[in-house]
Amino acid sequence: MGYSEEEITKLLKDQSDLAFNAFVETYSNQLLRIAYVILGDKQLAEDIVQESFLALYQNINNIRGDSTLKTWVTRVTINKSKNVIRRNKFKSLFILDKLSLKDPSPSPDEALNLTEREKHIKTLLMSLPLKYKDVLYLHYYEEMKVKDIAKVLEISESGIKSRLQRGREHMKKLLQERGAY
Amino acid sequence: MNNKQNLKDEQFNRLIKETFEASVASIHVDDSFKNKLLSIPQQCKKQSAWSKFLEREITLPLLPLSAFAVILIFVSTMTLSTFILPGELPEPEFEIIENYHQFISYENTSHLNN
Repeated sequence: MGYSEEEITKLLKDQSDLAFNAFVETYSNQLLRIAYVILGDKQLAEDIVQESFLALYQNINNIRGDSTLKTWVTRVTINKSKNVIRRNKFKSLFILDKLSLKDPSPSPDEALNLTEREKHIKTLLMSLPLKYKDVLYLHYYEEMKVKDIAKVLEISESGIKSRLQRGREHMKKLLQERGAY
Repeated sequence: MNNKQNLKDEQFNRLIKETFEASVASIHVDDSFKNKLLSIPQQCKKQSAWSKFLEREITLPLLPLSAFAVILIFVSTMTLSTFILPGELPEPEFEIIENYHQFISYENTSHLNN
């Protein structure tokens, strides 16, 4: 694309549409995937990514320079996704609509499009606690270092290491239960 | 022994990666969604103060609002009740006849007789 992170930041602060387009081209897929891993719903994930880019565009001049733009927008996407999950959990305490939260299996619409293996994997990942899911995803899929994950999630490096360790154990248990390990 | 464990760990790490890869394999930004994202700068063009005001979301706290409503109803009821004129008042069945004037005149004239 030809722009460095610093150049994009500078151009975005000047409200450059071109820089914004370049940023969307570069990071939208990555953000959509992480939102999907947390939420387990593509439509919701798209809404969250849209909100995150909107937040970026509106707050570009207020963003502190202590983290990169990518770190900032990834953090916003993760936090917004987690907020959706928490809001739904909170709602389910008052409204007896626990179906979507208790049942981690794909919805009927999704079930038509997903293969059997994809359904199993989705069910497995949705059974993984929220606090391990993002850390495991960033470390194993995005191949981010512990230091960088700590910056994104605003948790200490030792905290990330301990979550990775516990997350691995949890994942192992889930895979063993399903006969995949 | 250590090497065996390392190999096992490595295999498991690969399995986790593959699990995530499989889960997001079909997840990508399609053209319609990309266009939606690219239109964000146009959606965020500067608004007039009036349209900003109209679009402002106001959140009212539930408890103070209901407390305020109760106080308002109480005060308005009290105020309205002061404007209501009394209708037909019930009249007493017996009338008090004031005849103490007679007694007073007797008192006053007694010293004249003496």
